[in-house]
Amino acid sequence: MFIDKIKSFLLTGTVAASLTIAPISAIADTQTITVGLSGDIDNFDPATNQLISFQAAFATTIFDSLVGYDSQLNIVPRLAKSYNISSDARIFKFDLVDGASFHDGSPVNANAVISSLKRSAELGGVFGGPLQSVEKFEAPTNNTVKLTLKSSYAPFLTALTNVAIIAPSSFENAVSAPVGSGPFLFESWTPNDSIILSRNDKYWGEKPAFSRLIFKPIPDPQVAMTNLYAGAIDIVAEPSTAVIAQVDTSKAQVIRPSGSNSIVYIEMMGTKGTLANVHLRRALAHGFDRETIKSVAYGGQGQSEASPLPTSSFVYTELGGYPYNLEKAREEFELSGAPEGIEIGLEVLAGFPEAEQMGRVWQASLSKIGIKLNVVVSELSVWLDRYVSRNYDMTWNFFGVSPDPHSFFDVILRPHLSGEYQNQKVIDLVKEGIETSDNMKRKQIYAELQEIMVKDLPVMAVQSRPIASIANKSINGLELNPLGWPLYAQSSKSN
Amino acid sequence: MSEIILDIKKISVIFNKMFFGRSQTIKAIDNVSLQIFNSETFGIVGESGSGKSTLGNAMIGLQTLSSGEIFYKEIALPLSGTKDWMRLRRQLQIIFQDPFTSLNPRRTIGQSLAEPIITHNLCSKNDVTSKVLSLLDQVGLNSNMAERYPNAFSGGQLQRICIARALAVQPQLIICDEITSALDVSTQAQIISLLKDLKLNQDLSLVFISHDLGLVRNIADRILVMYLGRIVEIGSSDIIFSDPKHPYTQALINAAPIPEPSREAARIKTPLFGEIPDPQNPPSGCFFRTRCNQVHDRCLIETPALKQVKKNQFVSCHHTEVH
Amino acid sequence: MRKLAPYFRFLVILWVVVTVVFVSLRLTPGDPALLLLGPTAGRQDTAERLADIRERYGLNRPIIIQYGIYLSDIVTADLGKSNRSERRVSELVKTAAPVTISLILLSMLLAIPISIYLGLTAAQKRERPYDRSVRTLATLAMATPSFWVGLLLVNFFSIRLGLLPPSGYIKLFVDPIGYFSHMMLPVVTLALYLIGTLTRFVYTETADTLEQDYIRVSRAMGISSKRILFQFVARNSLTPMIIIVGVEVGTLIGGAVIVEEVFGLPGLGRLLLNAVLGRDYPVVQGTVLSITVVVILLNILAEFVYKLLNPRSKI
Ligand SMILES: Nc1ncnc2c1ncn2[C@@H]1O[C@H](COP(=O)(O)OP(=O)(O)OP(=O)(O)O)[C@@H](O)[C@H]1O
Ligand SMILES: [Mg+2]
Repeated sequence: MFIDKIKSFLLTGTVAASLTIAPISAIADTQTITVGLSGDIDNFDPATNQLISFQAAFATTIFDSLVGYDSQLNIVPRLAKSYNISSDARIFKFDLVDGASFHDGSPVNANAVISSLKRSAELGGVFGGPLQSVEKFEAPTNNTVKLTLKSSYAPFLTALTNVAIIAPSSFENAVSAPVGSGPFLFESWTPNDSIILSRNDKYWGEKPAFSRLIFKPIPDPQVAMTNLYAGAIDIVAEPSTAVIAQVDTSKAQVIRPSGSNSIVYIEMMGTKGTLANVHLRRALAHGFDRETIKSVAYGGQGQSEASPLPTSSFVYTELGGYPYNLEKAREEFELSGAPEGIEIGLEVLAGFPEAEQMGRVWQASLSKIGIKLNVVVSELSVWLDRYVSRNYDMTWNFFGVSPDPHSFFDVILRPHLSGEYQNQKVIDLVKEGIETSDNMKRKQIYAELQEIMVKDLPVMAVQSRPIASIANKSINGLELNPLGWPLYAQSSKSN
Repeated sequence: MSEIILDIKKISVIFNKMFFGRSQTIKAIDNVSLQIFNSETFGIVGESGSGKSTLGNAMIGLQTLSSGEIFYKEIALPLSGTKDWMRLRRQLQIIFQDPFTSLNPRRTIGQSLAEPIITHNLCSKNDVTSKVLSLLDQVGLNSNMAERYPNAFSGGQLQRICIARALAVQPQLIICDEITSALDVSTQAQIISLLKDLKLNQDLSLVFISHDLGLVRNIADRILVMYLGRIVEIGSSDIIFSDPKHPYTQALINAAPIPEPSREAARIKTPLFGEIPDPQNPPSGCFFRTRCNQVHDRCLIETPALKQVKKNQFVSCHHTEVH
Repeated sequence: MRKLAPYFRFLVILWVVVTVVFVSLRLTPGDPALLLLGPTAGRQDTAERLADIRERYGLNRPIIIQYGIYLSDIVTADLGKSNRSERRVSELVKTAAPVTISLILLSMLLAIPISIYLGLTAAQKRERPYDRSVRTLATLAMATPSFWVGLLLVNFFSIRLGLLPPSGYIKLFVDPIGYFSHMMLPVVTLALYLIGTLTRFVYTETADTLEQDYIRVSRAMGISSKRILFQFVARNSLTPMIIIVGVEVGTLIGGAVIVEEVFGLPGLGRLLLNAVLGRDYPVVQGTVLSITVVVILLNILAEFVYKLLNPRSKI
């Protein structure tokens, strides 16, 4: 708390001072790239650690999956050199690359892949969950994996991009000693100090140009930037929106993805039932000044749209939504029958100052129509408690929507569908969406779903979150995908 | 009359204190002149705040003077820290009121007593211990006490140790600043008789500062009465007690109980009325006029000068001149 | 019986600390199992996993049973395993403790002589410009947030001059030079705060002692003012400092949390902070317990040394 307080004054003070200072030469060692993470990682099991920062750091370094993403989020082969999907999206066949082996030396063969997939299915969660729909795991040959689903599941391939394949020998100790088959192998973790990876010289694919990849947890963004300017780290992986806006581009480069699939939401239907009336939700939406919020909270970055899906999605539909209009907001407020001066809480996670700023702007607008918005900022554990139990009036949240639109409905909307947002039509459409493999048909289904989302507003989309990494100028070839994962393996470092 | 060892010439001490950002001035000693003679015991009396301690400190050079000079056997007292300072240290000593704070609590009695001996190279290193023991013996203390720390002693014992320490350098003059006021009556008497004994055996002058007129009368050859930093009356002990001239002296003596019951009964009790004026805003003219029962107009305007009234008696009072 | 009293007091303090930590952790909102699963814990199919996690870490048992198990574990010197990384708490503490302990010890080593010198000399030159500037600077050093001081130092020494690394830690036995160059700025940051507090303490103690009659007598006896200051006064006003230093250890651990954060040191402070944020009960409990034991032991040591140096309190 104490740190938070002085942080804002530091932002203006210390950074201003440091900007006038010339950077010293970065670490001379071009074989080591050091990355500042916003928090420590204490669980290295890819089947159970669902943190975005864990995935972003290790999904493409320690681990391999059957299929993965390129920098544009196109699905590309990885451990599966090719794949074959039945027209009803029920049978998925993968041919494994030749000569791939895990870091413990054991081969990446069909049996190993299947046992790793089965383990994920058993552990469930967001990543393993979709695998629970697999009816039969088969290995027709030593190098072929055939998965037969209980029913059609169109987003299955996308889901597999999140399932890391780990060595069967490491199942027991994956939390502390992960063994994957990726371009880097896990060497050590010193809590609160560093996570050290070294190049996998037996990697089946293109080997990285540098030999060591070190991650250092540096929670304070100011400290992270100071370390970057001093050359102690090369990359700040997850800078906050405020920090991105303050980078001195004469000293460091801001690396942005082609677009952002990270969408900020306001989830409006908690168990408290404060916003059960749709007119009240619409009143809030009309009182939400997108333009001002985008420029004040997000430095003018990102795309502010009504649809909960990213504009890059193949099913994205442009919708009118709720333009900022206090007259209309007042009308909706009256229709809702809610009492004048009603108090509504907005839960915000600490460490995201832009979310609080958004809340403040919204608060000012709503006060004009007699709604009192309380912005409640809590640390992760407290926020999470309320989030999971949905014990809130409404909450801020953000989510990296995968290229398949289902991920939004599966992760963000699902808890509401089984809770306060009763809508059989939506449930049916979501089901239809995953069972249809024809993209033209899916477009129609998801267009309808997006329309209903905007009309009913169980969840209101705010805008896409500007994501970036900040790197020293000596870093070359680093790209980010629209989920915000830096593709470390393809980068390099010069003097 | 014997040799003058300390000649005090028109000294003043002014304290400037910062109090809530405002400077306050107190004239603790106001133009005082007097002499101390060899082998005499010189008593200083006066109410609290009259400048007795300041004068005592000034006499041995511990107090910076605002004006005036003090000569020790015709040598001006040097400032603390200068070269000549050390030379005079052996001659002039002081003993304070509170024996409990006068000894370093973290040093044994032996160490404290050895300190001056070593500092002034008074004897060879091997003889320091025996010297310390003989000092203890001189003030009537057991030799096994040298090993102990001050916390093991009573106030009277500690004051004896302080006396022993002062004697260690065989000084010419010891200032005793209320050295008995922290002690009970019987211990007081012991200390006084110890001082008397010691004086008989040595060529030593004492300045004995006290509130207690009875004690001063008992020990002092001459007496100085002070009021708000000024001399009120000064003279031989016998004369001052038998025939005090200044109204303040008279009041003090009348206020003091006499140990003899018959005379105590006959004593005219003219109590001293009123409070001591604020030393920062002393009255005009005679400082005592606000409490005097014989005020004249003149007392309000003119500061009375010190006048000789008898062979061994000097008084500063306009009233005495009127006679 | 009287001889045993200090040990009994020690145990009671430990028990109180342990219990307060246990209770306050459970009263703080935030479910460790939810945190382990992350924001997706709300999905229906994860309910089972939540139950698994609770079962695995004993979080589903009644609080009083958890408390009993916890106490009995402590008695058998078992601090348990991290809920998050599954590492042994004793291991985590063992790797983190040397960092914090050396940070604090080095800061003391740097701060104590400087504070003594400044405090003594300032008290001697009372109300002169030197004294006033020392006291103003001491107050400033105490009041300036370590976080800010740390960043300023990094900006100057690491970014502008490029002399010292801005963060990180290297073990002393691995590379002594690396160790000291990495510890330099953190130690200075923490020491600065300590210098502030200790200088003020030495100053008041010394000013007090200088007023004492025995010091005036010593001066009257012709003992040089240097000897008086650095022998008598120093000894007398510094002995209480041992106690203060003992007490300050607690504050210093608080300061270490911030310093470790700024300089990326893997010490106890960060271990504790992250464990609290992650609701990693065993790590919080184990770390606080270890810190408490160390602080109590240091205070007992300070008291012992104080008694040794201060014969007055012997009786
Ligand atoms: N260091 C000092 N700074 C400022 N004022 C002082 C200082 N020492 C003494 N004074 C003031 O000078 C005046 C004389 O004080 P002094 O101690 O000499 O009186 P005293 O006769 O010894 O009193 P007591 O009987 O209480 O010991 C008092 O008003 C006192 O407040
Ligand atoms: Mg006095």
